[in-house]
Amino acid sequence: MVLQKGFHSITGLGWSGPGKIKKVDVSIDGGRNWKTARLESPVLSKCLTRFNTDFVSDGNPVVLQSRATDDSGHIQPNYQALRAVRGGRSTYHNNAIQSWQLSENGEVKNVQIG
Amino acid sequence: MFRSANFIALCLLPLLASAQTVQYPNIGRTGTSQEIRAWDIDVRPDFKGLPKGRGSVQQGEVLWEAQCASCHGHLGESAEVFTPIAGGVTLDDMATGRVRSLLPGQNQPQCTTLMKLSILSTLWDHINRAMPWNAPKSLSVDEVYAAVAYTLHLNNVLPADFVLSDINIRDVQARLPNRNGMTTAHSLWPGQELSGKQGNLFRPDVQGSACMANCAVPTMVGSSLPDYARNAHGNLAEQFRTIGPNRGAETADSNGVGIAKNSQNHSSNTTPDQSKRAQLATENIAI
Repeated sequence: MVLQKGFHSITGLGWSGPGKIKKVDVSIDGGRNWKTARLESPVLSKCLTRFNTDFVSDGNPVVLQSRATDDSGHIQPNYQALRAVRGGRSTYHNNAIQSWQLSENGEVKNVQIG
Repeated sequence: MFRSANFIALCLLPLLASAQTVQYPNIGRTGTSQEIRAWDIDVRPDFKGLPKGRGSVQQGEVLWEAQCASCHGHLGESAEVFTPIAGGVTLDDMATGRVRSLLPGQNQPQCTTLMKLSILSTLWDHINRAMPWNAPKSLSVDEVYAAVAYTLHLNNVLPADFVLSDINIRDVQARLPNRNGMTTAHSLWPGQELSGKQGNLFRPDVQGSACMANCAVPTMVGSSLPDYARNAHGNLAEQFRTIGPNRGAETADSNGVGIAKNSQNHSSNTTPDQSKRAQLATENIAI
């Protein structure tokens, strides 16, 4: 995908097996700082829950991430936390935070941090 | 006006809190008993729901060659697209019911279906509802038995002259190499190992961080799709719609050869050299 400079609505779907999505945070700097996104209704137990937040691209490269928290208190882990528990060869049940790099030319691609 | 809007919002809150019990008028209808019977095809771990029938390894071989081998390989090796069905288990595993190559410290390069399979009804149910991929639910009950029998024969779980049926399927379950391998110590199916202190509240095996600002996280892009693989799905620029703000990236030239638009940001090597890793250029961004 190629993003132009200017306003974009970042949106996606959160899901949790144990219960409802309580909140979704979005980072544009690879997980260092987070902003809580809006949840779109309906927010139901074990149902996909759409979130959105504002993003203005000034043309500088960023790394986008989203992090869901459910009402049981489970917070979506990053890859480092996941690998520390499950090792590097675990592929099933991978619920780690994904990273999307927005390059200077506007191209967005899936990357791994660390 | 704002006052009344607030009032309405307050009134709605109790309704939203019990949204799961709210009926949605004019959406859907109650299924007929015939419709529900058509949907209700699951076969459970205790084999509840298993239709009566039988199929031999020999019948399964004919079926396999005609409808399964093109994807899953003649020996269940699935050489190209899919993960292998057979392989990776030993006679010892059949005795212990736990596939040794799955245990920590082993160096098995790939998991196969029969390495992981702990409940036979799962295999029966999956073939019955989803196979073959180009014509799911087209197999007869006896054909499903035959396909299951041949799949197990591929890994020597069943002898070549075996006839699998609803009568003896429990005995076959007791031969599965990984029958004792089921674990609920993971967050997608949390069992006692992950139960919390408060009733059913479960404790995930991996918990993320609630940090909101100045979080200590890695700052390097460690890996990304290498240049040569960018055109794996053709030229994305030609596959995005041309209305709206977003376009697809140019990932291939007119000959379909992969091109890199921003090669400074990724290494062509699948194991990126530490020194070539791109520093996240986000320090300059004011949050």
